[in-house]
Amino acid sequence: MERSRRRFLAVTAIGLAATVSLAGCGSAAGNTTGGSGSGSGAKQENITLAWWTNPSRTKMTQQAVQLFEKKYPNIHVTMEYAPWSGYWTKLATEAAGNSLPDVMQMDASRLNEYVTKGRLMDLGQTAVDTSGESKSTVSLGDVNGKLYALPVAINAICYIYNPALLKQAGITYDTSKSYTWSQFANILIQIHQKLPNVYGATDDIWQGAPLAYWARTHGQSLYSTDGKSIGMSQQTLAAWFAYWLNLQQKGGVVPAQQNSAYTHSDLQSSPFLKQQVAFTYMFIGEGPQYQTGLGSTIQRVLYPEWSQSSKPYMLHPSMYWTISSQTKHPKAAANLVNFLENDPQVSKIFQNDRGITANVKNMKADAAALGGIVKVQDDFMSQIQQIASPVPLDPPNAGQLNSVLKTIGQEVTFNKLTPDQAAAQFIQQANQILAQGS
Amino acid sequence: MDASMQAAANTSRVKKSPVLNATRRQNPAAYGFLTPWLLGMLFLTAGSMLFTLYLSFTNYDLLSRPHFAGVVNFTQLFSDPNFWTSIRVTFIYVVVSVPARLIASLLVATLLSKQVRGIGIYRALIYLPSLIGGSVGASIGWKKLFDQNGPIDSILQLFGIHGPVWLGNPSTAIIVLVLLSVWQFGSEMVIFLAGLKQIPGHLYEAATIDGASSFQRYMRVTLPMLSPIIFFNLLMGTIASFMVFTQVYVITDGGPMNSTLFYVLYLYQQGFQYFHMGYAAAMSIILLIIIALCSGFIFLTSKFWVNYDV
Repeated sequence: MERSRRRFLAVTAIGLAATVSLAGCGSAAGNTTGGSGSGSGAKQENITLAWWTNPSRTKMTQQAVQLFEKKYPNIHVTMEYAPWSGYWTKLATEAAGNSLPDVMQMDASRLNEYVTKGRLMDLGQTAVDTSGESKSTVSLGDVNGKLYALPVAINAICYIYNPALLKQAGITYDTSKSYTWSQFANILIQIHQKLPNVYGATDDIWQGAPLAYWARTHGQSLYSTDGKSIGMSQQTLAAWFAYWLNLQQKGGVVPAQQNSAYTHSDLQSSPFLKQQVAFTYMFIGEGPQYQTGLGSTIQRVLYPEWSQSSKPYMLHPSMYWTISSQTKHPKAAANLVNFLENDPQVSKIFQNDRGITANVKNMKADAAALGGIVKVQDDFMSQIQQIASPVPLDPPNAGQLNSVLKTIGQEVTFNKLTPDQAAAQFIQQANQILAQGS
Repeated sequence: MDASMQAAANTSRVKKSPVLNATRRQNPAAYGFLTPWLLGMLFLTAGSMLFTLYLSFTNYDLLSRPHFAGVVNFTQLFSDPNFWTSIRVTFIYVVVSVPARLIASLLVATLLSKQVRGIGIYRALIYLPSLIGGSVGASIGWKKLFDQNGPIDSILQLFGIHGPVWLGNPSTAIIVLVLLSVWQFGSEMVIFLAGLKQIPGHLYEAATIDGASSFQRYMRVTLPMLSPIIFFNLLMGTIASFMVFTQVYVITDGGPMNSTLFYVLYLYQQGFQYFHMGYAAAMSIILLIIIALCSGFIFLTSKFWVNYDV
């Protein structure tokens, strides 16, 4: 008996050991960066940098990190990157396991949540240097009066049009004029009248950023100041739905079925690239992709009614750098943030991939040195900066409203809801979601 | 006499004990080798299921600790219109796609059971889609196929038919997903093929002698003999259809107008896009119950149509 029990234990131990070593293999294989060496001389610090990525951004960021490690030989940076949707899942899981990366790329739609849950460090208490950015830019990272996030780049919405199609239709568009919403609608409808196979624009009825702008041109805001409810009136919202429905009926925007087969984030499916529409909305940072996709030059123009005295145009933070509140190496993390944010060489590598560079000096230097589309983007952005004001941060749970707006917007385009019903429904559902967020 | 009995008893004792000893010795070894699997079962499957059950009674956003919330998640679920939409959409999908796939796989298996030259190649080719069908790549391809002015549209236009915008129309988007499921009938087909081969030839002979037509032979001999396999495929297909996710996520992402908001897709959105883990956990518990009930129901009806005597 005694012997067999001992043997049982021994065999179990072997089995366990096999399991553990298998698991060990897994994690060793998954660790792409490998060992950092046992440290030469001064104490070696290991920090992790995480960002959401696309193939070119991965290369650019790796290059920047190499430069950083050359400058700070005692700091080793482990890189962690994933595409947008996978990134947030990964980050949340790491937060659950109390192992957040030291430096994280952060988005405005999530910032509030991470700050509220105490996951981010107040950058004011670190050596992060914000002297290179304009005050209004830096203020985009303020939450409750403290700087939790440093904007890497800024962004704004705009319209782009296909000059060839407008020429064909015999329509001239004055790029310096502040059109009214109804003048703009007339132009879109005219395009369809002149070119029956072409529609004026994509239907932006369920796009959140343009809706927020619509509210601001009506002297209101999408969210209330405390962020616990919708800030715009039901009347203004109904007018928004009615605006697009009217356009749809007159060919100013694409028909309902066509529009719901396309998502703005899937650029390849955009009717703009298929030359089915003359106008579409975008964030300035997306310009190069649209230009390559179309194969010819695009023209960027401001949204209607931009010249109002209330400065309705919105300056969006494109992405932020943030530091985990649980980091064991706050100094090294701050060094990395400073380097990525302010180093002129890094800025040249990044170009405008993350949006228009926030560091003013670097932006100007890049435009002069790189020229081309970088200069076009930068010039357009500096024009916007003069007429725009920063927007308050999205309340927690705001990310969830996109799908509500999309479903209700689609119901309007398919004539399942009138604009009035849609407005009432959206406000009711959105308020419920926002109330849960705080 | 006495001595021989003694001897017999002795030999039997001698004979028995090594066998007993051997099994006794081998048992621990077996458990030893089972350890990795047992641990996996305990921690990865049973453990996570219990944890899910616990989470379903909490508010959990991954960023902060779970807070016990009682049955709030469940009461909220029952008043959530999207939850009911997802149940409705999923049931429509299950009810349409499972029988469609069964019929398609059975018909093709019947065709492929004929002995023709090169039949192996046909079988392999027709089986192929089911290997790649659930993958992201196949889903993207499928989406392109049904794109506006894509291949399907072009073919229809040859016949003068102006098809709808398949993925942009709330009433046709789900058809695209059902067709994708039907296209992946391969694994069921292989099981049916094996089943068809098992049917003894003398049954057909007897039926032919009795004057049964080929249609009658199919209905009276083939189908009853296949019924255990039909039952198996029906059950597995139903369970799999309730859990469909990848294709939906890639092709429609729930749209347009939530017409393809499948249960597991909505569960994923709640859990990993809105970070309502407790809510998602409650949804998965309910899915477990729904699948168990449906499987139980299929088992109950099997008494009336599954034929187990060969």
